[in-house]
Formats: sequence, C-alpha cells, structure tokens
Amino acid sequence: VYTPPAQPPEGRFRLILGRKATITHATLTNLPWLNEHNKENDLWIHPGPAAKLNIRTGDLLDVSSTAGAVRIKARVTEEIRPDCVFMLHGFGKKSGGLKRVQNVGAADAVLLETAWDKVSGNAAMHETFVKVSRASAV
Amino acid sequence: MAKKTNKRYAMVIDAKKCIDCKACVVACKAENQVPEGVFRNRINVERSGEYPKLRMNFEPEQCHHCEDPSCVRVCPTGASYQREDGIVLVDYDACIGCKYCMIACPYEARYHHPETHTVDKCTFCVHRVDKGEVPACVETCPSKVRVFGDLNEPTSPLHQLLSTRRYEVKNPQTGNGPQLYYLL
Repeated sequence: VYTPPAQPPEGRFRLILGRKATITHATLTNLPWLNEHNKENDLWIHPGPAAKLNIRTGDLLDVSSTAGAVRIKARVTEEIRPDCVFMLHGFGKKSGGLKRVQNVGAADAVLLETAWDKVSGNAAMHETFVKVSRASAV
Repeated sequence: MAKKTNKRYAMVIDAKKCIDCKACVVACKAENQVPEGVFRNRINVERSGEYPKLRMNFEPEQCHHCEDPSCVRVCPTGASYQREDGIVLVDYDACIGCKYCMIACPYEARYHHPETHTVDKCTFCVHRVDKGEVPACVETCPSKVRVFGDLNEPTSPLHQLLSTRRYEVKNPQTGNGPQLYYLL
C-alpha cells in the first residue's frame, strides 16, 4: 500500500542533499582540479522564505535537525522549491587528510536523521526536516 | 612559425548540448599543466526566470583565435603571434609580462601565469593538432559540444556544420574576426 512521504511541519524545510556534475562523490571535493569549481558548499533557499527569515546570499545560517546542527552560508536562489533547502554533499570534513575541505562548509551527515523505506529497507535521505535561521552572533 | 599552409583552424560550439560538467576545463588543465587558480577555458552560465520556470544556458568559451587578433596588434615585443593556420600563440621567451594583450583581448581569454610571469592562453592544443589530433577539450567532451577542424577543408565535420546550420560569433563588432562559431 502506498504511503505518501512525510511532509515538513510548519517552519521547517525538507533537506535535500546531493551531488552535481563536478562532485559526484563525497571525496572528490578534495581534488584540486574539482575543488577549484567547488570551494565550499552552501545552503540553497528560495527567495520567498529567505525574505521572511531575513536571509541574504552569503549570510551565515544555523541549520538544525533532531540529529544535530551546522553553520553554513546561504545561497538565495530561484533554483529550488520554496519548501526545500539543498546542500552539496562532501564538505565540512573532519579528516585532516582532506585539507581543502576540512571544516570548510558543512557536513550533511551531521543533520541527517535516521529514516528508511519500509518496503525496500533503503535509507530515506530526504526525510529530514530542518530549522533554518540566521546565525546568532559568532 | 609553421611552414606554408592553407589550413585555417577553428572550432564550432554547440552550446545547447553543454551540461556544465567542466570536463573540458579539467582536461585542459591536465593537458597543459595550467596552474591552480587560472584557466584557459571556462563555461559561462546564464540563468533566467523564476521558480518553477527556469532557464539555464551554458556556453563554453576560450581563446577565439581571431582572424585579426587585437592581442597580437598591441604586443610590444612580438611575443603574441599568429601562425599561418590561424592559431594565436605566445612566445614565452619574448613575453615580458606587460599584460597589454590581456587588456586588448575582448574575450578575457588570457591570464598571467603565476610562476613563469608571462601571459598564457589557450593554444588550441597546438602540440596535439600538429600531430593530427584534436585539442584535449574537444576529445574529452562527453556530450560532443565542440567540433574542431579546418575551415578550408570542405569535407571536415566543422565545415559541414557551418554550411548547414545557423551560427553566430561573439562580439563581432570588435572587428577581431573570432573563430569560435556558436551554433544557434
């Protein structure tokens, strides 16, 4: 029986995480030729909710879920749905071996809540609903 | 200087096929040992519209290897020169790094090499072309955006595209006669 996916409660955004043409795997962020095109990840947010939260591109944001919280820069863009936010995978690494991305940007793994598909058992990566706000004074 | 030739190299770019994967940019860096922070080619991105009706255009660009290149005209030492087959190059031994050419270039195709302190640019991978191969960016492109060839060779795929498709060049008003042809 089909059960529709959970929807974000009022005031929260569905966190979408993923890759792009130049970063197809988390560890590629540390390669010099690819890092040049992706220095740091940011949080995509639609201009509508961004205006309500007084967020502009480049602002530092606090993003939190029940699993954890990160700080990340904002990118206000029309390229995303108003009820979702997106961040690129593979940044905010803790490993000192990944020098170019160690503590640069934010790691999506910190935010991800445990969720899985009840039929297949696959991890449900996009069922984390996050709170977004301008970062409090650093 | 190359020996007498009736070749005229150019490139056709079918920008609608471009997916902004930057494979051409990376291939160029690998082939030509381009240092970090500078680029011989790039992909211009143009966004328009509002969610959910958005448009994105990707347009690869590099040196246009112009017919009458302004970079060559302004070079005080003759370091910037054009081969008979149209390829515009820099003689690194003659370049004094004054950057006049970088200002004269209408396409921002040149950069200052941070280690050699000369100006550098796309060479159309002249070392490959002279062996009968195509430039690295052309060879690597997964969606076949780029077609390299000889304008004076009627059987070349480049010639056939230009005789059957509509195309434009960028900033023709500069009078430079750019040789990157963008299909419409």
